[in-house]
Amino acid sequence: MADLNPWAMMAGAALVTYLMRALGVVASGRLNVHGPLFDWIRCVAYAMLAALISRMVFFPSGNLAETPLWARLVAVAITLAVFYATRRNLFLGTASGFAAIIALLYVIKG
Amino acid sequence: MFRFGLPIFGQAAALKNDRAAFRLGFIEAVGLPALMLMVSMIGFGSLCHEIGFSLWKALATTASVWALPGQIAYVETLTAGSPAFAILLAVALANARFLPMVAIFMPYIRPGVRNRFAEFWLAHFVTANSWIFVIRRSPDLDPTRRRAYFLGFAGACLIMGFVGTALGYVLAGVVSKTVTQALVFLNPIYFLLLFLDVPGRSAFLSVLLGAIGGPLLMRLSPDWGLLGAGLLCGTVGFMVDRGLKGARRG
Repeated sequence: MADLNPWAMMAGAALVTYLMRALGVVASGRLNVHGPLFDWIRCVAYAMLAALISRMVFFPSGNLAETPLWARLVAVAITLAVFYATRRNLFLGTASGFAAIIALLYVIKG
Repeated sequence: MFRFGLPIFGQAAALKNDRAAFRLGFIEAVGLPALMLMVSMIGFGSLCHEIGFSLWKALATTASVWALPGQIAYVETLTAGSPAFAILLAVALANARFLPMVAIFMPYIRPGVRNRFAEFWLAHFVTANSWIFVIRRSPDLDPTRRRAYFLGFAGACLIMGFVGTALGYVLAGVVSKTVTQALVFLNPIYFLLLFLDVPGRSAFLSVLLGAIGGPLLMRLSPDWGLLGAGLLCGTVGFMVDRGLKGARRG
Protein backbone atom coordinates (compact mmCIF):
# COMPACT_ATOMS: atom_id res chain seq x y z
CA MET A 1 0.00 0.00 0.00
CA ALA A 2 1.53 3.28 -1.06
CA ASP A 3 1.27 6.81 0.24
CA LEU A 4 1.16 6.16 3.96
CA ASN A 5 2.24 9.32 5.70
CA PRO A 6 5.42 8.22 7.51
CA TRP A 7 5.10 10.86 10.24
CA ALA A 8 1.52 9.85 10.95
CA MET A 9 2.57 6.19 10.95
CA MET A 10 5.38 6.98 13.38
CA ALA A 11 2.92 8.74 15.68
CA GLY A 12 0.71 5.67 15.44
CA ALA A 13 3.61 3.32 16.20
CA ALA A 14 4.58 5.47 19.19
CA LEU A 15 0.99 5.55 20.37
CA VAL A 16 0.40 1.78 20.28
CA THR A 17 3.73 1.22 22.04
CA TYR A 18 2.86 3.75 24.72
CA LEU A 19 -0.57 2.17 25.05
CA MET A 20 1.11 -1.09 26.11
CA ARG A 21 3.13 0.73 28.77
CA ALA A 22 0.10 2.69 30.00
CA LEU A 23 -1.99 -0.49 30.20
CA GLY A 24 0.84 -1.94 32.26
CA VAL A 25 0.43 0.90 34.77
CA VAL A 26 -3.32 0.30 34.84
CA ALA A 27 -2.86 -3.46 35.25
CA SER A 28 -0.20 -3.06 37.94
CA GLY A 29 -1.50 -4.58 41.16
CA ARG A 30 -4.82 -5.58 39.58
CA LEU A 31 -4.08 -8.32 37.04
CA ASN A 32 -2.12 -11.52 37.45
CA VAL A 33 0.51 -11.02 34.77
CA HIS A 34 2.09 -14.41 35.45
CA GLY A 35 -0.96 -16.34 34.23
CA PRO A 36 -1.47 -18.25 30.96
CA LEU A 37 -3.02 -15.30 29.08
CA PHE A 38 0.13 -13.21 29.38
CA ASP A 39 2.33 -16.20 28.69
CA TRP A 40 0.46 -16.63 25.41
CA ILE A 41 0.83 -12.92 24.53
CA ARG A 42 4.53 -13.22 25.24
CA CYS A 43 4.77 -16.29 22.97
CA VAL A 44 3.02 -14.52 20.10
CA ALA A 45 5.30 -11.49 20.46
CA TYR A 46 8.45 -13.61 20.59
CA ALA A 47 7.40 -15.72 17.58
CA MET A 48 6.71 -12.58 15.57
CA LEU A 49 10.04 -11.01 16.43
CA ALA A 50 11.86 -14.24 15.66
CA ALA A 51 10.09 -14.34 12.28
CA LEU A 52 11.20 -10.78 11.56
CA ILE A 53 14.80 -11.45 12.55
CA SER A 54 14.91 -14.75 10.67
CA ARG A 55 13.72 -13.01 7.52
CA MET A 56 16.48 -10.40 7.92
CA VAL A 57 18.99 -13.27 7.79
CA PHE A 58 17.40 -15.45 5.08
CA PHE A 59 15.52 -12.98 2.86
CA PRO A 60 16.82 -9.52 3.74
CA SER A 61 15.64 -6.43 1.90
CA GLY A 62 17.72 -3.56 0.55
CA ASN A 63 21.48 -3.49 0.68
CA LEU A 64 21.85 -6.67 2.70
CA ALA A 65 20.09 -8.63 -0.05
CA GLU A 66 23.19 -8.25 -2.22
CA THR A 67 25.28 -10.30 0.21
CA PRO A 68 25.39 -14.08 -0.34
CA LEU A 69 23.29 -16.21 1.99
CA TRP A 70 26.22 -18.44 2.94
CA ALA A 71 28.24 -15.42 4.12
CA ARG A 72 25.38 -14.33 6.37
CA LEU A 73 25.02 -17.85 7.75
CA VAL A 74 28.76 -18.21 8.41
CA ALA A 75 28.71 -14.85 10.21
CA VAL A 76 25.76 -16.03 12.31
CA ALA A 77 27.66 -19.25 13.16
CA ILE A 78 30.71 -17.22 14.25
CA THR A 79 28.48 -14.95 16.32
CA LEU A 80 27.03 -17.96 18.13
CA ALA A 81 30.44 -19.60 18.62
CA VAL A 82 31.96 -16.47 20.15
CA PHE A 83 28.88 -15.84 22.28
CA TYR A 84 29.13 -19.27 23.90
CA ALA A 85 32.94 -19.27 24.05
CA THR A 86 32.86 -16.01 26.02
CA ARG A 87 30.27 -17.21 28.57
CA ARG A 88 27.38 -15.58 26.72
CA ASN A 89 28.90 -12.14 26.35
CA LEU A 90 26.38 -10.16 24.31
CA PHE A 91 28.82 -7.46 23.31
CA LEU A 92 31.63 -9.75 22.13
CA GLY A 93 29.15 -11.98 20.31
CA THR A 94 27.60 -9.09 18.41
CA ALA A 95 30.97 -7.48 17.69
CA SER A 96 32.39 -10.74 16.31
CA GLY A 97 29.42 -11.18 13.97
CA PHE A 98 29.91 -7.63 12.75
CA ALA A 99 33.62 -8.21 12.13
CA ALA A 100 32.96 -11.59 10.53
CA ILE A 101 30.51 -10.32 7.92
CA ILE A 102 32.87 -7.47 6.97
CA ALA A 103 35.80 -9.88 6.61
CA LEU A 104 33.75 -12.35 4.56
CA LEU A 105 32.41 -9.68 2.22
CA TYR A 106 35.89 -8.28 1.61
CA VAL A 107 37.23 -11.78 0.90
CA ILE A 108 34.44 -12.40 -1.61
CA LYS A 109 35.15 -9.14 -3.39
CA GLY A 110 38.82 -10.13 -3.53
CA MET B 1 17.33 -11.67 29.27
CA PHE B 2 20.56 -9.86 29.90
CA ARG B 3 23.31 -11.39 31.96
CA PHE B 4 25.49 -8.48 32.90
CA GLY B 5 27.45 -8.50 36.12
CA LEU B 6 26.19 -6.07 38.71
CA PRO B 7 28.92 -4.00 40.38
CA ILE B 8 29.09 -4.14 44.16
CA PHE B 9 27.98 -0.89 45.69
CA GLY B 10 27.67 -1.31 49.43
CA GLN B 11 26.53 2.24 50.20
CA ALA B 12 23.61 2.08 47.78
CA ALA B 13 21.08 1.76 50.60
CA ALA B 14 22.46 4.85 52.34
CA LEU B 15 22.05 7.24 49.41
CA LYS B 16 21.45 10.66 50.94
CA ASN B 17 19.02 12.10 48.44
CA ASP B 18 17.40 11.64 45.06
CA ARG B 19 20.33 13.33 43.37
CA ALA B 20 22.75 10.72 44.64
CA ALA B 21 20.36 7.94 43.56
CA PHE B 22 19.98 9.52 40.11
CA ARG B 23 23.77 9.72 39.78
CA LEU B 24 24.21 6.10 40.82
CA GLY B 25 21.64 4.97 38.25
CA PHE B 26 23.29 7.04 35.56
CA ILE B 27 26.76 5.69 36.35
CA GLU B 28 25.62 2.08 36.48
CA ALA B 29 23.95 2.43 33.09
CA VAL B 30 27.03 3.90 31.43
CA GLY B 31 28.79 0.58 31.22
CA LEU B 32 27.73 -2.47 29.33
CA PRO B 33 23.95 -1.76 29.35
CA ALA B 34 24.15 1.61 27.62
CA LEU B 35 27.02 0.46 25.40
CA MET B 36 24.95 -2.50 24.20
CA LEU B 37 21.98 -0.25 23.68
CA MET B 38 24.14 2.07 21.62
CA VAL B 39 25.40 -0.80 19.44
CA SER B 40 21.84 -1.99 18.82
CA MET B 41 20.70 1.54 18.00
CA ILE B 42 23.64 1.92 15.59
CA GLY B 43 22.08 -0.96 13.69
CA PHE B 44 18.71 0.77 13.74
CA GLY B 45 20.19 4.10 12.62
CA SER B 46 21.92 2.40 9.68
CA LEU B 47 18.69 0.63 8.75
CA CYS B 48 16.88 4.00 8.73
CA HIS B 49 19.54 5.47 6.46
CA GLU B 50 19.26 2.54 4.07
CA ILE B 51 15.49 2.86 3.68
CA GLY B 52 15.71 6.60 3.05
CA PHE B 53 14.48 8.05 6.35
CA SER B 54 15.82 11.47 7.29
CA LEU B 55 18.06 11.64 10.36
CA TRP B 56 15.28 13.49 12.18
CA LYS B 57 12.76 10.78 11.39
CA ALA B 58 15.18 8.15 12.69
CA LEU B 59 15.78 10.08 15.94
CA ALA B 60 12.09 10.87 16.36
CA THR B 61 11.27 7.17 16.00
CA THR B 62 13.81 6.25 18.67
CA ALA B 63 12.50 8.95 21.02
CA SER B 64 8.78 8.34 20.56
CA VAL B 65 8.65 4.54 20.30
CA TRP B 66 11.70 3.89 22.52
CA ALA B 67 11.67 0.12 22.13
CA LEU B 68 13.93 -1.43 19.53
CA PRO B 69 11.82 -4.49 18.56
CA GLY B 70 8.86 -2.23 17.82
CA GLN B 71 11.06 0.22 15.95
CA ILE B 72 12.43 -2.53 13.72
CA ALA B 73 8.96 -4.01 13.19
CA TYR B 74 7.77 -0.53 12.23
CA VAL B 75 10.56 0.18 9.75
CA GLU B 76 10.46 -3.29 8.18
CA THR B 77 6.69 -3.44 7.70
CA LEU B 78 6.61 0.15 6.46
CA THR B 79 9.22 -0.56 3.78
CA ALA B 80 7.55 -3.86 2.91
CA GLY B 81 4.50 -1.76 2.05
CA SER B 82 2.14 -3.38 4.54
CA PRO B 83 -1.27 -1.76 5.16
CA ALA B 84 -1.41 0.74 8.03
CA PHE B 85 -3.45 -1.53 10.25
CA ALA B 86 -0.97 -4.42 9.81
CA ILE B 87 1.94 -2.12 10.63
CA LEU B 88 0.37 -0.84 13.84
CA LEU B 89 -0.71 -4.31 14.90
CA ALA B 90 2.83 -5.63 14.32
CA VAL B 91 4.33 -2.80 16.38
CA ALA B 92 1.78 -3.29 19.16
CA LEU B 93 2.53 -7.02 19.27
CA ALA B 94 6.29 -6.51 19.14
CA ASN B 95 5.94 -4.27 22.18
CA ALA B 96 3.15 -6.16 23.93
CA ARG B 97 5.68 -7.43 26.44
CA PHE B 98 5.58 -3.96 28.03
CA LEU B 99 2.14 -4.60 29.46
CA PRO B 100 3.20 -7.32 31.90
CA MET B 101 6.68 -5.79 32.29
CA VAL B 102 5.41 -2.40 33.41
CA ALA B 103 2.78 -4.02 35.61
CA ILE B 104 5.54 -5.95 37.41
CA PHE B 105 7.93 -3.00 37.45
CA MET B 106 5.79 -0.18 38.88
CA PRO B 107 5.41 -1.53 42.42
CA TYR B 108 9.21 -1.42 42.80
CA ILE B 109 9.47 2.32 42.23
CA ARG B 110 6.00 3.27 43.51
CA PRO B 111 7.15 4.23 47.06
CA GLY B 112 9.07 7.17 45.56
CA VAL B 113 6.40 8.26 43.06
CA ARG B 114 4.10 11.09 44.16
CA ASN B 115 0.88 9.94 42.52
CA ARG B 116 -0.56 7.46 40.06
CA PHE B 117 -0.54 10.09 37.32
CA ALA B 118 3.26 10.35 37.48
CA GLU B 119 3.52 6.60 36.86
CA PHE B 120 2.04 7.15 33.41
CA TRP B 121 4.88 9.37 32.32
CA LEU B 122 7.56 7.25 33.99
CA ALA B 123 6.21 4.20 32.11
CA HIS B 124 7.48 5.55 28.79
CA PHE B 125 11.08 5.11 29.98
CA VAL B 126 10.76 1.46 30.95
CA THR B 127 12.79 -0.74 28.60
CA ALA B 128 14.21 -4.25 28.88
CA ASN B 129 17.47 -2.73 30.15
CA SER B 130 16.11 -0.50 32.89
CA TRP B 131 13.55 -3.12 33.86
CA ILE B 132 16.06 -5.82 34.71
CA PHE B 133 18.63 -3.48 36.27
CA VAL B 134 16.24 -1.56 38.51
CA ILE B 135 14.57 -4.75 39.72
CA ARG B 136 17.91 -6.39 40.42
CA ARG B 137 19.19 -3.30 42.22
CA SER B 138 16.01 -2.68 44.21
CA PRO B 139 16.87 -4.80 47.29
CA ASP B 140 19.93 -2.56 47.88
CA LEU B 141 18.01 0.68 47.51
CA ASP B 142 15.82 2.68 49.85
CA PRO B 143 12.37 2.18 48.23
CA THR B 144 11.78 5.94 48.03
CA ARG B 145 15.05 6.41 46.09
CA ARG B 146 14.35 3.79 43.40
CA ARG B 147 12.45 6.27 41.24
CA ALA B 148 15.47 8.57 41.06
CA TYR B 149 17.80 5.63 40.42
CA PHE B 150 15.51 4.51 37.59
CA LEU B 151 15.44 8.00 36.07
CA GLY B 152 19.23 8.21 36.15
CA PHE B 153 19.54 4.80 34.55
CA ALA B 154 16.90 5.50 31.93
CA GLY B 155 18.37 8.93 31.21
CA ALA B 156 21.76 7.46 30.40
CA CYS B 157 20.10 4.84 28.16
CA LEU B 158 18.14 7.53 26.34
CA ILE B 159 21.25 9.58 25.65
CA MET B 160 23.13 6.55 24.39
CA GLY B 161 20.11 5.54 22.32
CA PHE B 162 20.17 8.89 20.54
CA VAL B 163 23.94 8.77 20.10
CA GLY B 164 23.69 5.26 18.64
CA THR B 165 20.86 6.11 16.25
CA ALA B 166 22.66 9.22 14.99
CA LEU B 167 26.01 7.44 14.78
CA GLY B 168 24.56 4.51 12.82
CA TYR B 169 22.74 6.86 10.48
CA VAL B 170 25.77 9.05 9.79
CA LEU B 171 28.15 6.09 9.48
CA ALA B 172 25.89 4.37 6.95
CA GLY B 173 26.26 7.45 4.75
CA VAL B 174 30.04 7.68 4.83
CA VAL B 175 31.55 4.23 5.25
CA SER B 176 31.89 1.72 2.41
CA LYS B 177 28.95 -0.29 1.21
CA THR B 178 30.35 -3.41 2.86
CA VAL B 179 30.53 -1.77 6.29
CA THR B 180 27.01 -0.37 5.83
CA GLN B 181 25.76 -3.88 5.10
CA ALA B 182 27.49 -5.08 8.27
CA LEU B 183 25.91 -2.25 10.30
CA VAL B 184 22.44 -3.29 9.14
CA PHE B 185 23.42 -6.89 9.89
CA LEU B 186 23.86 -5.85 13.56
CA ASN B 187 20.06 -5.92 13.91
CA PRO B 188 19.50 -9.64 13.34
CA ILE B 189 22.63 -10.88 15.16
CA TYR B 190 21.94 -8.76 18.24
CA PHE B 191 18.38 -10.05 18.53
CA LEU B 192 19.46 -13.60 17.77
CA LEU B 193 21.69 -13.52 20.86
CA LEU B 194 18.97 -11.94 22.97
CA PHE B 195 16.61 -14.73 21.94
CA LEU B 196 19.02 -17.36 23.26
CA ASP B 197 18.39 -15.98 26.74
CA VAL B 198 14.60 -15.77 26.63
CA PRO B 199 13.19 -17.02 29.91
CA GLY B 200 10.91 -20.05 29.76
CA ARG B 201 10.38 -23.00 27.45
CA SER B 202 7.17 -21.66 25.88
CA ALA B 203 8.94 -18.50 24.72
CA PHE B 204 11.93 -20.46 23.46
CA LEU B 205 9.71 -22.82 21.44
CA SER B 206 7.87 -19.83 19.99
CA VAL B 207 11.14 -18.22 18.95
CA LEU B 208 12.26 -21.42 17.27
CA LEU B 209 8.96 -21.94 15.43
CA GLY B 210 8.75 -18.28 14.44
CA ALA B 211 12.28 -18.32 13.03
CA ILE B 212 11.47 -21.35 10.86
CA GLY B 213 7.88 -20.62 9.88
CA GLY B 214 8.07 -16.83 9.75
CA PRO B 215 10.01 -16.35 6.50
CA LEU B 216 7.79 -18.91 4.74
CA LEU B 217 4.54 -17.33 5.90
CA MET B 218 5.84 -13.89 4.94
CA ARG B 219 6.51 -15.23 1.45
CA LEU B 220 2.92 -16.47 1.23
CA SER B 221 1.49 -13.16 2.37
CA PRO B 222 3.81 -10.14 2.45
CA ASP B 223 1.16 -8.02 4.17
CA TRP B 224 -0.13 -10.33 6.88
CA GLY B 225 2.51 -13.07 7.04
CA LEU B 226 4.35 -11.47 9.95
CA LEU B 227 1.25 -11.28 12.12
CA GLY B 228 0.16 -14.72 11.01
CA ALA B 229 3.57 -16.12 11.91
CA GLY B 230 3.35 -14.53 15.36
CA LEU B 231 -0.14 -15.81 16.05
CA LEU B 232 0.38 -19.27 14.58
CA CYS B 233 3.92 -20.04 15.81
CA GLY B 234 3.37 -18.33 19.17
CA THR B 235 0.15 -20.23 19.80
CA VAL B 236 1.73 -23.55 18.81
CA GLY B 237 4.74 -22.84 21.05
CA PHE B 238 2.41 -21.96 23.91
CA MET B 239 0.25 -25.08 23.40
CA VAL B 240 3.22 -27.45 23.06
CA ASP B 241 4.69 -26.09 26.29
CA ARG B 242 1.38 -26.60 28.08
CA GLY B 243 1.04 -30.06 26.57
CA LEU B 244 4.50 -31.02 27.83
CA LYS B 245 3.67 -29.68 31.28
CA GLY B 246 0.44 -31.67 31.33
CA ALA B 247 2.20 -34.83 30.13
CA ARG B 248 4.73 -34.55 32.95
CA ARG B 249 2.03 -34.07 35.55
CA GLY B 250 -0.28 -36.78 34.21
